[in-house]
Order: sequence, then structure tokens, then C-alpha cells
Amino acid sequence: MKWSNRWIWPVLFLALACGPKLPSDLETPPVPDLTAVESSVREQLGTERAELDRQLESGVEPAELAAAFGRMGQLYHAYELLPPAAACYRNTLRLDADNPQWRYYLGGVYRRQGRLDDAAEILGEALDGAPDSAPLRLRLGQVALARDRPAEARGHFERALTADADCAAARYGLGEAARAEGDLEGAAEHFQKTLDEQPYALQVLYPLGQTLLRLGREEEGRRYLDRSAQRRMSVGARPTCSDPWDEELSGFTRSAAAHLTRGLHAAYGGRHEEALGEYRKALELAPDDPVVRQSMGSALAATGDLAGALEQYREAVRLAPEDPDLNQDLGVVAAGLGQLDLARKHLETALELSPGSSTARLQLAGVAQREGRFERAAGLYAQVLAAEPGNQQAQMERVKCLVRLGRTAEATRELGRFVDRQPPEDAHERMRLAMLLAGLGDVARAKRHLAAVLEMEAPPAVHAQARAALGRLR
Amino acid sequence: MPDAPPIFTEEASARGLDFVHFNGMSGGLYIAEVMGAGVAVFDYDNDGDLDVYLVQGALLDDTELGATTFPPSEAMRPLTDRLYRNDLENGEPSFVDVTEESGLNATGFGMGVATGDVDNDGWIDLYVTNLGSNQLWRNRGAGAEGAASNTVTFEDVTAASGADDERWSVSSTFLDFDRDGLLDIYVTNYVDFTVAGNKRCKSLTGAPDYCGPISYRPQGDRLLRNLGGNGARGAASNTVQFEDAGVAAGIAGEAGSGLGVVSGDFDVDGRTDLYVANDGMPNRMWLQQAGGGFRDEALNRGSALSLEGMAEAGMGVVAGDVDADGDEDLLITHLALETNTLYLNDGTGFFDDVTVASGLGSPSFTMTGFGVAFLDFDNDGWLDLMAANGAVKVIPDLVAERDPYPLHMPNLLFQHLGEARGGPRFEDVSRRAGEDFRRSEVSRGLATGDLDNDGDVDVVISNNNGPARLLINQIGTERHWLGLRLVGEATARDMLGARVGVERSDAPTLWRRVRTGGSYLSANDPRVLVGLGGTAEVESVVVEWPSGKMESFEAVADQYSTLSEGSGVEVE
Repeated sequence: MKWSNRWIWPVLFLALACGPKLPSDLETPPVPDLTAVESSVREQLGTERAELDRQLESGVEPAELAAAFGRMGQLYHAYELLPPAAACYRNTLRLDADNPQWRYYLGGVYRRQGRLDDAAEILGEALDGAPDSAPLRLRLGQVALARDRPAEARGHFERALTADADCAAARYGLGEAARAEGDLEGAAEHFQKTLDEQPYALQVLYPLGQTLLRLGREEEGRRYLDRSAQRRMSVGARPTCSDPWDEELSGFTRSAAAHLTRGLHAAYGGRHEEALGEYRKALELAPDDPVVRQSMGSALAATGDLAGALEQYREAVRLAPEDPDLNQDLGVVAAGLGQLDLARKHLETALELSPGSSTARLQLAGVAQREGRFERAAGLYAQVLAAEPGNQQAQMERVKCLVRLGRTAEATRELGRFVDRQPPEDAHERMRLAMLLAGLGDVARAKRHLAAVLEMEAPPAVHAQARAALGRLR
Repeated sequence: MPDAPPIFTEEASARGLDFVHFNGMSGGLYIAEVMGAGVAVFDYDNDGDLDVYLVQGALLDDTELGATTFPPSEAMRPLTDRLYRNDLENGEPSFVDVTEESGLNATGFGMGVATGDVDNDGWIDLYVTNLGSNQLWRNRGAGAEGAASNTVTFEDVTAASGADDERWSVSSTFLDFDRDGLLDIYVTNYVDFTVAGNKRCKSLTGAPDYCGPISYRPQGDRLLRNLGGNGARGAASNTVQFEDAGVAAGIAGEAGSGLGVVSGDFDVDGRTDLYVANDGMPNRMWLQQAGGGFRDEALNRGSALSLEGMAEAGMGVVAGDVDADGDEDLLITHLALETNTLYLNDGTGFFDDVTVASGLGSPSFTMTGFGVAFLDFDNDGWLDLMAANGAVKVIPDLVAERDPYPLHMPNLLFQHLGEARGGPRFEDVSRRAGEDFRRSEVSRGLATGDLDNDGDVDVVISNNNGPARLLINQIGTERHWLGLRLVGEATARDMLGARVGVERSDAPTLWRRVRTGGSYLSANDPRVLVGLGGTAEVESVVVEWPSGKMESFEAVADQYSTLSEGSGVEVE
């Protein structure tokens, strides 16, 4: 780490000699290499450092200097520049030992650096100033869990909940502590409550499902695990707790990447307008970044503004013409707007660039189908099925194409084989396929699958429909 | 009190293992350049000692070789994978580069290597994975047509055998999943990265950085079933043939950013299963079903996600019986801030994450792990652990030091302390493990084997953009050991998948499996090396052969023995 001796030591010397009495053990925070960082970030860090310089030079009171070091530390911390952040926080604590916020931040830095014992110590000291801080208790509990001290963790999580009854992260922590202590009933209860309080905290589905399985509550457990399997992304899925100190920290980052990250979190939380706001800020800083354009396009599409999305994707593809994802996204949105020529062009490009992409192939098949090119579409669906034999959408659409081509017997045969080989686990889906088979004339197979639907777990209405269909076929 | 001797000494260059990896770096921050490469230890020439195969990178774009960020030395040119023959004498390994005479000419952007005898001729073959087409190198044995009588050569049979995969393949492993006596291949494929479609990613400060897998589309893996040399698809009858068995096996179409794979019998039903570590996506546990085919049970069985329900960045994976209860446990290496994860098998294929309680969590929290091995380095009968580390995103502290390659990290060695609170307990002993553990490099592959045949496990580590390291064990022979090679009845092929139980008086049976796969991009010694601790007494050795046959053998400690299927006493 390169240490800057350029500015702080002469200034400190001056300050120590002329100004108010400062501690002699102040550290020189290492200066990160900022040559490659975004100009807005460089400017932000430079301005803050200059302000710190100014305060040091002017011999301000220790409390004021502590705040300046604290702010500098926050800035480094927010950008994950941890060694300089830690040094700034330590200086702050030398100048202002009573403020728990700086200890909280320093504990967070130590935690990320893997210094669990140091983190526990500094966070513990912060309790003197804020014994009822829910975020502080929460972090202490998390560190205790990482140090394999579940009983200690439990105490902190309980105190966090006392301080803030809505702190779902602490509730979840109680579940983790209970599980670590072998109390599976307690763990399941806490996980369930966490999910009740924050249904979007989908991360909890998995530990809850696993705990229920271990308790022998298999059906219940598998239900949660099935839901867990359906979620693709983990962004924004953790249980949360109101944490003003942490919010203050995240407010410092102003890079395009930081706005993108915040936008992504908002988008996965379903807060598309908020996501759009963040992406707009990112776009101002990095108008030529195709990822920003893509994210913007995605958010616009999610809000129903397909024309706006198309514009963003077009720009993204202009910036990165050989990116298969961008070409695919552009193709999908163009198809959604009925611009089939444009859609075909970019989906074909996407496939050329990423020949294994079943998604692009499926979309291209859809375009061909809409253009009435059923032979082409059927061929593309067959290619998807060769790679993904269980792809129900591809099989269904291929069957429709074959019917349109007059190849009914082939369609019936294929669909029959597909349903026999991979009968849908969802009763409604299975009934749909059975009815399609009946429509194609394969009544025997349709009846067999309808009968199977009656044996499946399903809402009464689905069973009633299956019974009625069976009656009609008889 | 004198200092304890180091556990391992690093002797690569002293022993002639002078390989240096080239990663193709040219400023484009291509994700592929930081992911390779692997290493295999195997006895290619059947002379009884382990040789070393190291996978090399290549140029990724049209940059001139000399203008790349870290141009290769003249000694490493032309850029090809390298085969080093071990001329072991009096317990002293010595390596000679025999790439050229071997006929091996692997010039792709290399990732990993797997070892296994695909044609049952008693000579170990190689499957090399690349960014792009893979290669199956058939070992022709000594004195094949056009070669000197004592020279072992290889031929590229990729196209003729149907074993290729043009995607970005990473780790692969040989296994006989259908128990037909022929070794099949499982290949993990990562994401759909291409140089032309390279994405530009940034850190939180806006500084350019390597992209993660989330920037690209995950790919499906491939299961290649060995059809034997039956002349299928018009090939010569002596040419081994593979078919893509993914559809029939039920693994096709399940995309995942796979990096690591290991085979085993995780649900203890006698059938071969697979565990795949995915990067940033749920891992998969492919359990083979009674009627054939595989089903992914990772989510139900507790081995898909972290304890908190998050998909982690699975890199390397290793299986072994760390709690000596007879089943196979799993360890997966991960990205920094995630810890490595130890899953304990409950004996029925359900897994508990015991990372924190085992002591493995905290030391691995700041490390990005790749290659990994359960290895009993002190021969006390408990499986210890080694992890090869190196970041995939630039480390700001190193950038501030103007480090030219700011991804390096030290490797870790953990000693198994036995059982505590009902589970295994490990201690980080890296500080006294030897000088190599004080180095900081971008390590990727890790392969284990007894390279000096002295009865303790040695290690070869492959570094991205750096020299290979040879770690010679200095302490294992202080205790007793048992070395076993398990070969087939019809041919002297290593019986990958066989399970060995070493029965001892007044101590639990030690169970090990014959496998070369696991770790990351790498292949291990197929021989089984079992630490016996302070006693040389072995009651018997039980072998469960892949055919299902079970036999008992007598064995003598402190030496290697070859056990042939059919030559033991059959056990019910």
C-alpha cells in the first residue's frame, strides 16, 4: 500500500505545534490508487481529502477533525477501499472516542477483512454509547455467529428485536442461532416469522425448507424448497433491518456502477420507478456504457414502455454490436412491438454470436411463427428441444406449427411422446396438454393423462374440469 | 526448542518442473484469462511413478505475443500444454519435459485436464478442456507406430471419438456411471463468453474490472457416454466412441455456470452420482436413479445453496469422508466474503453445512478458493484440507501498491484435529506449512499424489500467470501408511469409482474412493493412500468394485500394493 506522506504529516506537525492538542498516534491513511477510477469518484474523493487537509491546516478542534476523518472514512468505506477507511475510522476514534457510529463502521470494515475478533471487540465497545441500537446488536449477533458463538448471537438478536420489533434480519438471526444450537423447532418458527414479516425476503425459503425437512415435515419443507428453486436471483432477497448508519454510508457512492447496483436492487424488489431513477443517474455519468443502457431498457420494459426500452437497447447494441445478450434483448422488445424484421435481424445476430442460446432460438422461432414461416419455426423449436428436451413451451409451439403445416399425425406422435416422457408435475399443465392431445385425436392418451390429473394434488376446480373432460371423451 | 520442519517444501524448479502459465492477458480484462489452468498427476508411461501434465493458456485476441501484458519466456514457447516425465530415482523425483516426443500438441486456450483409461488398454488417456474445442488424447503406449520402442505417445482422437465440446469447458472428470466397464466423461461448461462479445465491467469506483459469470449466459454441461470401440458411427473398430448422453440421463438443458465437478455415491445407494459446483448459481447434485438417468437433488438435500439460502460462487469441489462415518462429504471453494463450505453427509445423502463449527469458515472468508483437496498430509487417518486461492476481481489494496497482477492470495492448509462437538474440527496450519504458503500467487489447479513414492501425499499447484509449484511432503512418513492401486480384472486399468475400506482393530474403518477428479481443472493420483497413524496393523482391506462385486484383501502397511478385481476373497 502506498502511503501518502505528502500531505498529512507536515500538516499534522503544524497542527500539533500550533493548534489544539491532538493525539500523537494519528495514522496516515493509505491513499488508494485512483488513476483508473471514474472521474466523478476521483473528484469526490479528492474534494473530501482537500477538505480534510484544510481542516488539519486550520487547526480545528479535535471533534471537528474527528468528523472530517469520519467522513473521509465513510467515503472510502462506501467505495470498499477498506484499509484507508479503517485508518480514518481509527483516527476518528482517537479524536472522538465516544461516538458509537465510528466503531460500528470500523467493526463492519474488520468483519469484511475477516478480522472477526477485532470486529467483535470494536462493536462491543460501541455498545457503551448505543446499547439499544438494533443495527449494532444485529451486527454483533452476525459476528458472534461467524465465530461459532450461537448463544451470544442469540442474546444480541433478541436485544435488536427489543429495540426494533420490525428488524426482520434479527428475527432471521434468531433462527440461525437456534439452528446452530440444534433447536430446529425454534429455528423454523423464527424463519417462518421472518418470511411473514418480509415476504420478499426469499432467501429465507431455503433455510426454512431445509429445517422443516429435518423436522420430518417433508411436504411443507419441499413446498418452500420448490419456491426457492423458482427464484433466480439473490439480489434484494435478504431480510432487512432499518439501519440509518448503513443508509448514510450507501448514500456516499456516486459512481455509475453504484447507481447501477442500487437500481438493480430496486428492480429486483419490484421498485421499477426507483430503479429508473438510479439508472438515469448512471446514464448521466456513463452514457456510453452498454450495461447501463441495457439496465435502463430492462427497467423501461418492466414499466411497459417498450418504445423507450427499444431506444435504449438500440443504443446499447450500437455501443456493443457483438454482445449476444444485447442483440437478444433488442430482438425480444422489437418482437413485442411487432417490429418483426428488426426482431429477426437481432435475434439471428444473437444466435450467430452465441449459437448455444436456446432463449434466442426460442424467440426467433416465435418470430418465424408470427410471420407464418411455420417450417422454419418448427425447425428452430426442434433445435431447442434437442438441447432442452424438457422445454414444454418449445414442444407446444412446435406442435402448433406442425398442425399448421398439416402434419397432424407427426404433431400427435411428438406430443404424445413428450407427455408420456415428461408428464407435467403441475395438474393444470397436464390437463392442458391432455386436452391438446384430445384435440389432435389421440383420445386414449388424453384420457390416460386426464385420469392421472385426478390422482394429482390440485385445486378442486381443476379436478372438476378433468372429470368433465373425461366425461366428454367417454 | 528448534523450529518444527515445514510440512511441505516447494521444489518445482529444483526438480525440473519449470512450467510457467501464460494467461493471454492483453488489457481487455477478458474473464477467461483469470480462470485457468489445471494440472494432472498421472503415470503416463507405466513406470510406477507419477508424471505431471500442465495446461497452458494462449493468445485470446490479435495482440502480438510479445506485446501481451506478461509475455511468455522463450522457454515456454511455443505455447502448448506440457508433459513432464518423472525420472524418479532413489526417492528423488526429477522431471523432464517430454511434450514434443509424446506427440501431445494442445495449443488451445487451455483450462483443465482429466485422466482415465478410456479404451481399457492399460495406458492412461487425457481429456483436455479449453475455451473452445476440447481434446481427447489417447495414450498409444510405448513403441506405437512411428515412435521409438521406449517412447510413449499420444494421438488426438477428439473428432473420431465424438468427445468434443466447442463451448467453454472447465473441469471434467472420468467416471463409469453406467457400470459397463468403460469410462465416461462429465464436462462442466461455464458461460457463453467470447472475445468478440467481451463485456466491460467496473468496480464500485468505476474502475475497469473483470466481469463475473452473471454478465454472461450459463451453459449446459455434457455427459459423454463411452460406447467402446465398436465401430459405431462408421469409425474404426478400435477407435473409442462417445455419445452425448445428456438427454437420456436427464442433465441436458439444465444450464449452469459450472466450474467444478466430482463423482461419488452421495446417497449411498451403490450408484454413481455427480456433484457440480456452479459459480453464482445453485449447485447441482445429480443423483443417479434406479431406472437410470439422473435427478438434481441438491436443493432438497441441503447442498445447493449456502446455509443462508444464497447461491455462492462455487469453484472447486472435493468429496471425501472427513468425519470417518463411511459416507462422502463435500467441500466447495468459493469467492472471498463467502467462505468455503463443508457439507457433512448424514449417511443418506442429506447434507448439513458445518463450515463455521468446523473452523473452516473464518480463515477462508477473505480468500477466493479454486483447487482443493482432502489429503491426509500427516498420515494420521483424518483427511486434512488444502485450498489453492487467487482472486477473480482486482484487490484494491494491491492496486494501490501498483501490483502488476493484483489478484494474488496465499494458499491455505488445514489440519484435521479429529472430532469435536460431534463434527470434524480443523485448524489453519498454513503458517507452519512451509515457505510456499507464505507466497501470494493466483493459484487455480491443485492435484495430489505421491510423487516420490515415499508413502505421503505431495501436491502440484498450477498458478495463473505464474510458475507451477511442487510441494513435497516432509512429515507424512513419520506415521504408518497403506498404498493401494486398484485395477480391473480384464485389464490393468485403475478402477475409478471403486471404494476401499481399510479395517483396523479398535479404530473405525477408513473409507476412501478411487477417483482422479475433483478439485478444480485438475486430476489426482488414482492410487489410494491411507494414513494409519501410529499403528502398522491392518486387519483387512475391503473393496467395493464398480461392478458391484465386493472383495476382501490382506494388505501390508508402509508399501504400495496392487489389488486386482477377482483376486480377493469375495464378501457378501
